[in-house]
Formats: sequence, C-alpha cells, structure tokens
Amino acid sequence: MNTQRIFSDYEVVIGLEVHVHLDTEAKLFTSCPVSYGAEPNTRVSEVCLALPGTLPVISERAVDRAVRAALVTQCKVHPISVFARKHYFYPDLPKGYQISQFEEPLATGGHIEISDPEDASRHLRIGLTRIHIEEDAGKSIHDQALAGSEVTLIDLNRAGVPLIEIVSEPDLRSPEEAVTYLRTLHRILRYVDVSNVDMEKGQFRCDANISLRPHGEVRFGTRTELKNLNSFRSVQSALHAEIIRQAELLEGGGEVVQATMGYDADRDRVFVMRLKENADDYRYFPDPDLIPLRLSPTRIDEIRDSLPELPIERRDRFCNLFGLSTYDAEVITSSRPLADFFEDVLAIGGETADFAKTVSNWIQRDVLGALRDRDLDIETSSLTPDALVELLRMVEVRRVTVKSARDLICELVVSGGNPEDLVEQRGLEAVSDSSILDTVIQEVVSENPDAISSYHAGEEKSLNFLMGQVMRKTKGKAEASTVRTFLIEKLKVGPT
Amino acid sequence: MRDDPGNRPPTAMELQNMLAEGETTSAQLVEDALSRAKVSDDLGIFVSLREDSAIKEAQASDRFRSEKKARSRLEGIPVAIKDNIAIAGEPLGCGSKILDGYISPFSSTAVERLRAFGAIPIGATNMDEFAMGSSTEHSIHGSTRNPWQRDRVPGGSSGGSAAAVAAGVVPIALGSDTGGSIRQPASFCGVVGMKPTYGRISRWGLVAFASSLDQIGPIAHTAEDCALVLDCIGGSDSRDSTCLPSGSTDCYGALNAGLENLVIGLPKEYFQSTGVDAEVLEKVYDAVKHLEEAGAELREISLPHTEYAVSTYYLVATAEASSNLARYDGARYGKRSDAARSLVGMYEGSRSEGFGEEVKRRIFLGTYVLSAGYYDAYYRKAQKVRTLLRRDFEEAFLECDVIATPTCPEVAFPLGSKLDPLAMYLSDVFTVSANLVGVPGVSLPCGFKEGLPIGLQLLGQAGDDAMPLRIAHEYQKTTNFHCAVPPGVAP
Amino acid sequence: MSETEREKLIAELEIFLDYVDQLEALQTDDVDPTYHVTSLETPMRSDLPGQPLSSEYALGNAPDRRGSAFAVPKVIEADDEG
Repeated sequence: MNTQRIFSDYEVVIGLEVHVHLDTEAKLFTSCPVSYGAEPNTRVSEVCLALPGTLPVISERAVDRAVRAALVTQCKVHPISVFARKHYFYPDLPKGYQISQFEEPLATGGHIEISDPEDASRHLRIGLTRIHIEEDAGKSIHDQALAGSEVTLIDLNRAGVPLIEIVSEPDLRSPEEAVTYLRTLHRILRYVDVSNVDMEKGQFRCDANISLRPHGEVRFGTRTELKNLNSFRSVQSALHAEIIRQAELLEGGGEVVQATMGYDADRDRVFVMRLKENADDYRYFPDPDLIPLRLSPTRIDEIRDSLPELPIERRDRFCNLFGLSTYDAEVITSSRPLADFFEDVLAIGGETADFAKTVSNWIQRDVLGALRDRDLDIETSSLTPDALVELLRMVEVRRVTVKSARDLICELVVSGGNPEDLVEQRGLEAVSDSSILDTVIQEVVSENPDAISSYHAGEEKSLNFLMGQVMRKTKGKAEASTVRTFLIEKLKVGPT
Repeated sequence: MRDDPGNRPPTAMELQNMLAEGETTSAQLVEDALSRAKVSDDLGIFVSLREDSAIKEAQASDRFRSEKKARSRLEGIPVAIKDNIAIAGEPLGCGSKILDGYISPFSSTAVERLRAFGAIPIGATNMDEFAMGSSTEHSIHGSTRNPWQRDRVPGGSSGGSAAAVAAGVVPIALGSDTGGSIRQPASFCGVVGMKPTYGRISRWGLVAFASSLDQIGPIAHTAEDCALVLDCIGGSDSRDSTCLPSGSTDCYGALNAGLENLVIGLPKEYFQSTGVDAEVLEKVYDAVKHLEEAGAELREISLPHTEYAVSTYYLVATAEASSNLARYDGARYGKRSDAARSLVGMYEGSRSEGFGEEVKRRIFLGTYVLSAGYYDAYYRKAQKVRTLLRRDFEEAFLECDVIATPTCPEVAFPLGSKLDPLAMYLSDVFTVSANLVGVPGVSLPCGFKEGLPIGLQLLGQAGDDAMPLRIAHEYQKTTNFHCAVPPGVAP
Repeated sequence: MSETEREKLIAELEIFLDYVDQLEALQTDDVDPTYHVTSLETPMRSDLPGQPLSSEYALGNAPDRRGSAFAVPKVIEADDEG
C-alpha cells in the first residue's frame, strides 16, 4: 500500500515511552553496583534478590539525575511524588512487584522542540505527559543452547537499575518525527549527563503507541503498542510496517484490535505478541516501605544550577558572542565536548568573530572529517586546543601552507603532538621566502617556454600548468596563492 | 529486689549481676537455656536451636568479661529470637513451608545490635505463619502451648517468644507486633511485651507482613529488661527508609521518674465494650487504681472510632501482606513445588502448597482489597479511617500522658477453639489501634483468672517509648504478678 | 488451589467484606489517607557502590540453577524483554 496515500487518507498518531538508565554507579534502592555484561547474578544484593526482610532506600544521585531530565525538558517537578508498587508475576521481577510511580509522578507537563523532518527551518513542539522514576527488572536469558529445553534462565544483575520513564503526548505524526524526537531526546539526555544512553547496552529503550484516524477526527483510533524497538532504524521501520498494517485493515473494513506488537527486523514484519483484551490490573498502591519523595525548592534550584548549559542556549550564545551563523553554531554545539573544545581554542587564540569563523571552518571541514574517518570523538582524539591554535597561527603567518596544515590535522588527531615540532621534523616549512621562490619560478619559466607563450597568447590554463610545476618543485610547501601572485608578476615582465 | 529471685526465673538484670559477681558464667547460662529449651520441647517453643554458635559466643563473652570488656548490661545473656527475624547463617522459616530450609545470608539490624552488645541468640521461636494469627496455632511446626495451661494457646503470633520467657528458658526474647502480636501473647503468658513507636526499631531483617504496621519488640519478665533491650536495638538505621532518624533511646534511664502528676487516660469505648470478660475488666481496674494510689491521676477519655479499628486494620494489613508475600514464588529461594512443570505451575504450585490456610486467606483478601474498582472503597477508605484514629489519639493525649486498657478482652483460649477467622480477628480489638496509629504499647501482667494471666496495656504517645515502660516499672515495684511462675517451671 | 478451597475463601471473603462495610458509615471526604505514620524527610543513600553478594550466597538457596543463573520452568508465551 502506498504510504503517501495512507498519510493523505489518515492522520497517524504516535506516542512514545522511553525507558532510560540513569547514570549511577549503584542501583536505585540498594548500593549494589550497576554493570553491564557481567556473569549472571554477580551484581546482586539481598535487596535485588528480594530476600525476606529486605528494604529499599533511594539513591540521591538517581533522584538528582531524574530531576535533571525533568528540568531539561521543561517539566514541572513536583515537590512531593510517591512511589507505588506495580504488581505482576514474572520470574525477572523478584519482589512480584516493581517499585515505580503511579498517581503522583516526579514530573509532568514538559516538552521537547524538534526540527520538522519535512522542513528543517520549522520546529515542532512535542509534549511530554510525564517523567517518573522506577527500577528495572532482571533478564530472562533465552539462550540458543536452551532452545527446546525445559527451563528459562534468570539473571538479576539488571534488577533494580534506576530508570526514568519518559512518556510523550501523542503529538508525533510520522515515523520520521518519531525518530527525530528520539534522537533529540537521546542527545539532550547525554548532554546533561542524565544517562550514557548507550542503546546497545539497553540504556535507552523505546516503546511506541500508534493509531490511525481520519483527518479532522478528534477521537483517537484504537492503538497498538510496539515493544522492544532497540535502534532508531527499527523504530522507523516498525512504525512504517504497523502503519501499513493498520491502514490495510481499516481499508478492508476491519477494526484495529488493541494489542502488544513486536517487530521482526529480519523480515521487516510486525507481529502480535499479546492481545490486550483487558487492561492489566497492577493493583497499584503507595509503597509502605518508602516515604514520599520530598524535594524542596532549594534542592530543585541546586539541581537546576548544576545543569550544564543546554545545547540550544549554547548555540545561541555562540551566535551572539562569536557571530557564528546558526548553522555553524549548531554543528559546533552538537556535542558538549566539541563545544567545550571550541571554546577552549577561542580562549587561547582570541575570542574574535574572525577567529571564531576560522576555527569553525577548520573544525567542520577538517577536524570532524578526520575524527569520522578514524572513528574517534573529539574527547578521544589527541588533538589539543593548543595544537589547533598553534597550527592556525602558523597558517596565518604563512609558515605552513593550507594543504600541509590540513594533512597535519589528521596526524594531530590520531597521534597528537606539537605542530611546530612536526613541521620541523617533516620539513613542511612553507616556502614563502621570495628569493627561493624566485629561483624556482625562474627555473620553471626557463624550462617551459611553450607554456609561457601560450599564457601570453591568452591561455589561462597554462598558468595553472606552470603553478603545478612550481608546486611540484617546492613539494607543495609553497602557498598556492603566493605562487600565483609571484608567477603573474614574473610573467608580466615578458619574455626575456 | 522485689521478690525472692529463687522463686521465679531470673531477669536479665539479675543474671547480669550474677555474672558481674562471678556467681555464674555465660557459658553456664547458655547451656542451661539450651537444656531448658530441649526439656520444654513439648511446649513447642523453639523451631531451631543454634547450639554450637551460642556456646562459642558464650565462651567469647566470658573472655570479654574476664578482660573487663563487658559491652553492656546484656553481655552474655541468652535470648530467643522469633522465627521471622533474620540471623545470618541460620534458618529463617516464619513458620511456613514455603521458607522451610531457607538460610538467611544476613542478620537483621536488631540481632546485629544485640550481638554487638554481647547478648547471645540461642534459637528461633515458633510463630503463626508469616506472623498472621493470634494463637501460634498456624505454624508448620505445630502449635505452641501456653506454659500456664498446656491445653491453651500462648497467643500469637509471637507465641513462641512469649512462652520462652514465661517458661523460664530465656530471660528475654524478641518478637514482632503488627496488630498485637507481641502484646497479646505477653498478656496470655503473664510476661511483659512491648511494641515500640513505629520506626523506633529498624525493620531490616524482619520478614515483612504489613510494612506500615510491623515493629520488632522485646519480651521479658520486667519493664526494666524491656527498656534495656529497646535501648540496645533501637535507633536510626540507613537500611530502613521508615526508621526514625534519631539515635537510640534512653528508656532505661527514664524508668524511675515516678508517677507524680501523670494522668492515665481510660478510654470508655474499651472499658464499656460488651465483649470483655468481667474478671479481666475487674483486674485491669484494680491495676489502674493501684497506679492511682501510687500517685497518678485517672481520667476518662474517649477514642470514638475504636469500633472501626479492626476493619481498618484488616483491610490495611491484608493488602500490604498480599503485596509483601508476592515474592515467595519458589524461583530464587524457598520451596518450589515438585509439580512445577510450567512457569504458571511453579507460581501456583509453590504458593498453593507452601502457604497455610490463614496466609492464603489474607492474601486472597488483600489482593481483592487492592484490585481496581475496589481500591477506593476498601484500601483507600481504610487509610482514611486510619487518619481518624490518629486524630482520636492525638486528642486523647492532650488530656493524658498515657492510656491504659485491657490488652485483650479475654484470657488464653483453648487450643483449636477459635475456628471462625472473623472471631479471631475481633479479639484483636484492643491492640490493633496502636499499630495503625504508630504509638508505643506495653502489656504487663496484672492478675489472673482461673490461673491464666491477665494483661494491662499501656499506650504512650508516638515517640514517647519511655512513658509506658516507666509506668509499668513503677507498677512492678509494688506488685508481684510478674513474679508468678507457671506450674512445672523450675527456677 | 482446589475448587472447594476457592469456594471456601470466597465465602469467607464475603463475610469479611460484610463486616468491613461498617466503614462506609464514616464521613471521610475531607480526610487525607494515612499511608505513613511518620513524616520523615526522605532518607537517601549516596551513590557509593557496595560489595555485591557472592555467588555462594546469591544462589545458595536456589531450588534450581544452571551455572550462575536461576533456572525456572520455561516461559510459554513470547515475553517482553523490557
């Protein structure tokens, strides 16, 4: 079925629930350490195992991270929120209930601005219904080796890891918007150190609710829930597949049935995991082992003050202070370490608009490329702000050619070092000494009389040829523009 | 010294003096306790004994003492611990099949502190399964018997601990109280039992029944001994979010402050209740009059919502219990059903086979009370009535310093006589309010009916654990109900 | 749970609910529920990770295990990983 037609016939309504592992060393309600990839049940405490007589005590840092996430998404942080027990029986849920929040969550009513995937100049505001704190469950290990066996294995290392659940309003209208929202959220959470959001480690997990309705209809259609979407790509593909499935169903006169769906990436297919005939009764009630979470205004302010500058704020500041274009500023502030690096460079080399523009150009054109090629980040590379400033200064005084400098960037990124030393070692000093240049030009001119003639006859191309010859003789250590100037000067003199 | 110690089992204080004077050793005391425990096996008091460990600890205690390093007034004293309070390396069964064979890898805070002060746990005492019951008849180990009359119940759920003290096996024991489970058996067994202010003692290591009601507490012959234990095991604990942040109490230091100017409130709803045995009422009146003669003032007060307390209690307690017991599924520990071929089978089989009738009943009730559609009418409503009860007590305490009531409407009933669950629940009427409201309560013996002990209950304001103990102590200076010895119990 | 057991429990439940219905007589519209009798400041822990339990303790009471994982009878339906 043609997706364009679907979108013209129906309005797609998507809401996303994202579970994020908070960046803490210990678990939410016990000081058991958090780790990934450890042997099963080697990161568990009595509390994680729900042994008789155990009790929860909440982690201050987890609360702090959760409040950060709420502040950074413009939510209202509630001074009192309540932990509730959510009951269901499953072997990876040791207590037989999950400690979560229900009627009184940590935060409600925020929003995230994303750029419209259809039109980069437009922004969409996606509402957030709520953010609440909860603990993660353990894992059922479905080992290939056990296929056909009588047992499932349970690993409780992950049980009790601190999570926030971020629930969006059903404001998203396409899979592309959904992915943009996820990427934006992902970036923001990383930016303010709420979480490392490493999707491969399961630190950022997404469930999607999706329904279709005719345009203009205010009531929502029946929705299905897509679970276990563990990459941005699978979110997009799964949503697409489900949209088509629902549309075909509706076109055929059928009805969408509420269900929990999974996505098979290999076959690009959605499938029903569980029909949801009745809502599960989780028998929520306030956890009597945990008194309500009380956050004073002072505390919330302290957390707000401890927030690093947000991407948008920093971008605007770079525009205002350094005169960068919005586009340039966005690229530079796309990651906090990169933005930090940029500011460090300017702090050393001078906070002028010109220098800022220069640095921005070099970062975008060369540094980022070099990082990408070698799969590095600015923080894992060996390029220091000092080195970049040094290098740019050398270019400015023509001590080294632009081309040489660009090559050096790659080296500095990978192995670090001092540009001054490197230039000396490699003999990359630009040839700008006019006497040397003069000698070389003189040589080239005398060796290529035909080129001279054709130049004088009006062939511009010959100039390029002659330049190439000079560059070759100087092993690229002459600044192209300088060579050009000298050559033209020389050739004016006329045939000798 | 109030009475001839040779006539009755010694208190912890008396034993401490003997140890200090060199008249006995801890090793001797522990051996005596262990042999008494075995001799009174027919009373069904203990479910397990930790002989080797206890003897070793006793020897170590004697060494400390010889090096002049006695750690407290509890140094070297044998104690009994209810089977729902964890001791590292020991079985923690809660009277239940589903935890049969389970060994706890950690100790409760209460036991840790007892041991740090030199007391020596000798074993685990019998109890109603998961603390649900008022008679210690609901245990896989069988019933515990009342040392005063062996065809009677000792009360519950801490029946084993109360009997251990009454039968002279140990001078002090720990129990737990959710709706009266320390005070009622103390009353039936003629000993002193205390439920502290909620949050006074850490619940870390206490197997949860109803989290907002549970408290560990001491059982002993005297208020003095109870004060000692309370001061030792109470106080802030970073492992329990509901534990009060203040340090340990000094109830022992406040014991002798006397009765002058104290007002004792007598709630008319308790004394005018039709279900109370006439003799019980008479003896309790005698007791409060005795306190009046000693300098206190008596005043009639009202706790108007008393008649709703049992409903409120059972709605809240069963709801919380159904949740707290959800973890017992045979997956990671405890008994897994042999019939578990499927996952559902594991849950249903293990829980169906592992839980006794009373536990199942309460889980069933509790699950219902929390279910969608009924939550507001039952659980939420009950928690609101709880607020009304709190207000009753707050207002009552504007007019008095302590509240006195009978602990139970009756004396120990015969084994197997209370088959109707609701009738059993209703007998908790005088004790449940203290748990719902969080105030401290002490039960002490104040008389006998046909050879069976009667208990006087003293309730203090939340946080004022010293007050009821002080009044009980004063009472025990000039009476000797706590010195009576059950037949067949040798000193 | 057998059928007779279930029926008995249901009958007892009804008796119990009849009794607790007495609470309906109380006017509680303006009353806040007491979920906790203490009004403490939220106690919190620092983020210092402690020592996890050794395998011996963690699995010491396990009815069934494979290596260091707990073994339970197979989950029949396709489960949620989340």
